[in-house]
Amino acid sequence: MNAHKPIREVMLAAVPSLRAFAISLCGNVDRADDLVQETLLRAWANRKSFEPGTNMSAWLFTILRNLFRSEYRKRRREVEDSDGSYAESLVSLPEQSSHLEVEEFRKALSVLPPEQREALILVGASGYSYEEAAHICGCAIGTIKSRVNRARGRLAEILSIEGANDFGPDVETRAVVNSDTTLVRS
Amino acid sequence: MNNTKASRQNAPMDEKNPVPKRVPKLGPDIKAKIGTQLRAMYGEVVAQGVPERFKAILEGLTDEQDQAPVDREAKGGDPANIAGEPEIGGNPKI
Repeated sequence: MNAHKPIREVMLAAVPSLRAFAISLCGNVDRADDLVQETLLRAWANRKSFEPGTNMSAWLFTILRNLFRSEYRKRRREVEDSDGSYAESLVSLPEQSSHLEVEEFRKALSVLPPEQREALILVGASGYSYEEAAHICGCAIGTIKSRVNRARGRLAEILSIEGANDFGPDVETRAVVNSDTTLVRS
Repeated sequence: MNNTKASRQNAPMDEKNPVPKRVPKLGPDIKAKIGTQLRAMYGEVVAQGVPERFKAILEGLTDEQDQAPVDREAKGGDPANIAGEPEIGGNPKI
């Protein structure tokens, strides 16, 4: 039966970017891969609810995003504290991303509130339009725009990007990123 | 120096309000730098392609595999609600 072959192919083709999205969201490769797996299984089980002619990749992103958010909330409830369980769960990625700048950037990204993080990734890295990102996140376009803007502003602060200053965070910023996890909620 | 700036510019967390109260203006150079880093981070993962694990999963999908079996976490109910999350917009702060 080849009826679903195209779907499977589209899903396969979407895996690399789904992983990139998931890893950017949760900062942990193992968790991210579980998230992608769950996304694929759910998408397959619910493939009849996919509307042909619409963007399947965006549909998959939506599923992944919602899975992440409900898991995140669950965890949040379990570890109901303000000390940033997310940051704790953030383990250093394996050697494949040994690139220091990228590592620092990941850390900085992890400090952002999740809704800002997802908006920025969707628009700035996944290549979705504001409109598509709004659809994926289930909010208004204006909301996405303002989240992306805030995310950029926050990253610029954390990474002290200012004029001539280059990207490398100084010791101070590193300390903030590593220890002051309350920033997540500020 | 950065410290004072950071504390002053802490963005308001009023996520439900689509109109930001005051978002600091960011120059195109800053946006570009962040964009470059963001894509580098993302691209690093994309470049890894499709790990075997996922190929196997996709190959293993069968036509029989419909709704029920995978929804082990769905709390009964709306099959259209694929991710088991009733509302997505306007989340309360988490």
